[in-house]
Amino acid sequence: MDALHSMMLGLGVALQPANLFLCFVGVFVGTLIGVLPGIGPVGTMSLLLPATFHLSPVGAIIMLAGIYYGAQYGGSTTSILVNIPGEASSIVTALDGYQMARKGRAGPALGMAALGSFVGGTVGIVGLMLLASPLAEAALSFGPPEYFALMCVSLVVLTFLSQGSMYKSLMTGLLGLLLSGVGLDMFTGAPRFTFGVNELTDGIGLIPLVMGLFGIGEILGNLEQSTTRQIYETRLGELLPTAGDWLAAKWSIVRGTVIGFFLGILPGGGAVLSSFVAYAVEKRVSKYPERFGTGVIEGVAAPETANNAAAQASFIPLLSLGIPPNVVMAVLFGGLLIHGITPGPLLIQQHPNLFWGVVASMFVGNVMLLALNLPLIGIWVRLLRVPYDVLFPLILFFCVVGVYSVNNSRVDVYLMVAFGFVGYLMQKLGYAPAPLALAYVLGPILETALRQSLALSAGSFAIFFTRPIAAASMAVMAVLIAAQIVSELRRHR
Amino acid sequence: MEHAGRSRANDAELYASVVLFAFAAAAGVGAYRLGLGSVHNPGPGFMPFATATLLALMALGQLVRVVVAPGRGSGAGAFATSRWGVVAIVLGTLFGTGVVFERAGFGIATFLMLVVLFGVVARKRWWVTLLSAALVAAAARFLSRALGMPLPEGPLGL
Repeated sequence: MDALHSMMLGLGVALQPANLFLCFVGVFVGTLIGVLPGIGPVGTMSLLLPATFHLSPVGAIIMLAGIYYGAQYGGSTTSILVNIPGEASSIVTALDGYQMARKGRAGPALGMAALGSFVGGTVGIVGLMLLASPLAEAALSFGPPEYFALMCVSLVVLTFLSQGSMYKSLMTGLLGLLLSGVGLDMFTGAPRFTFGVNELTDGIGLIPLVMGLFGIGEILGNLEQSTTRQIYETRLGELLPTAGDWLAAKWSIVRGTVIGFFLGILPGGGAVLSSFVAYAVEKRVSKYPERFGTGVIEGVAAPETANNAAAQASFIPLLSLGIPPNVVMAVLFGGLLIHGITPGPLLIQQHPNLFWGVVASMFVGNVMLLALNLPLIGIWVRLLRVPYDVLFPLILFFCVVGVYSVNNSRVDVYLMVAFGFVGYLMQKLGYAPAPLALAYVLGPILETALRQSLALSAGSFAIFFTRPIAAASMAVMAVLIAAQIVSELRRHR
Repeated sequence: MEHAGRSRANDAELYASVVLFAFAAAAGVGAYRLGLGSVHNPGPGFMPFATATLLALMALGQLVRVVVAPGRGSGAGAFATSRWGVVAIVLGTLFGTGVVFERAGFGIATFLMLVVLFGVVARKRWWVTLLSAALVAAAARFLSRALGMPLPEGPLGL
């Protein structure tokens, strides 16, 4: 009953004309960047963060959240029609989606992707409604040792689940922690690694770091690839999947939703990982696994449902614990802080309008996305014809203007360029940038929690092993690291 | 050929490990100078020192691995497709835009940036380049003024 009452409060907020408009802008921009390869939700959200300074906190978060889940919808369009995933979370959708398009079944593939996304997204929101409040209440009893341990385990899980080597991911995570130390020490006020540059006393900005690593770095990588696109056209009348398609995909949708939801909550999970796992599970349980990759509807339904369920579920740890489980949530975390709101267990109590308004806006946004992605598919297809050599100068232009306008600082532009080069090199050498960005965001909280814990325990590290939640988190971390070491040793034999 | 490719990949992994180690070592020294404090009252250098030490050890481990077991790196052929000229032009242009942004003004700086990106990197025709750059810069200038964004105007008021 409480949840229902709160939801009504949220709907009241979400349905205000200004918030409705911002929700539309968010999901529209999300779909747009999902369709266009070359810029993802992380870069776009960072880019638009300065534009939200004049908005109300609720409106700003509604719009930024819309970009994230909107991108999950849009990403499938390019995967299916052009075989170029608009988003990393739609990579596996291309395997069967594109094959369906080649067989003249682009419509049902797009329709299934949109409807599956709607189901996954909606279930994800219901989960967010039901889980976030109890989790936040439980988290109220957490002290610095629990937070330190939880954040350590988040970082290790993220590196464990990142693509590529866990060893390299751990290194990039440590690099992120080191970078987060730049600026004034929060306990003593001593400047750290500022080298006399005034602009660095507040630390390295999150936006130049993220825009560089994920925006510029990705564009530099894309400029090396030449792609010829053959777009498979479809008509509105052909968009609805047949009864046979629904029958074949019904359990894929259920499994995709469950997998996406739980992997979304997990640190380091999120939309990308869940889509891969959902596809792998679908192939494993299928009666005809050999047909996967040739254009089966389950290969589209499962990952598309999973990535949307995960996108919604990943809001749970951010809004209830104040721990962003992935980079997109880290950017949103930065957005909340900019608007004077500290994400954490008290957020739901102190800002019920914001929490329930954002949750309710997700329902509204999902309906908007269904309308945007089914009847308007023709517009998105036309957008695919815009060549990349027209798009990338514009994206770079927005990056420079966006980064500069945050603090009106040239130093931020230089930092973005430097991180762009670092991001490019990391991409080339197989170092995942996500652990760096997440560690960078968690760094200050982690350090505060560590120093407070050590002060509480008079310098004894036993505090992390004698309190149940902290000890359990440390045990999980130890198991994950041990598992990775064993797997590395086996691989080398 | 394959051997040469693998060797290049190993070189890249090797350089990456060396750079990471050097960065971590320098950060460790800097953190030590900041003051480590004590375990019950950590100083400003405590956390960065611990992080830098761990990173330096891991980079050293990676370095040893690349030297002892060559060819196991994930960066096989990593830079084979690299277009270093394009990377340098794009990054140089963005950096240059930052340098002239406040002196020349938003309009002029972004116009010049777009001219290089459309003309040199995307290799559009000269008139397409100039027209696109002028249109985008002018539209952005108009929008920024309409939205009240305080962007530098430069001596020409652009």
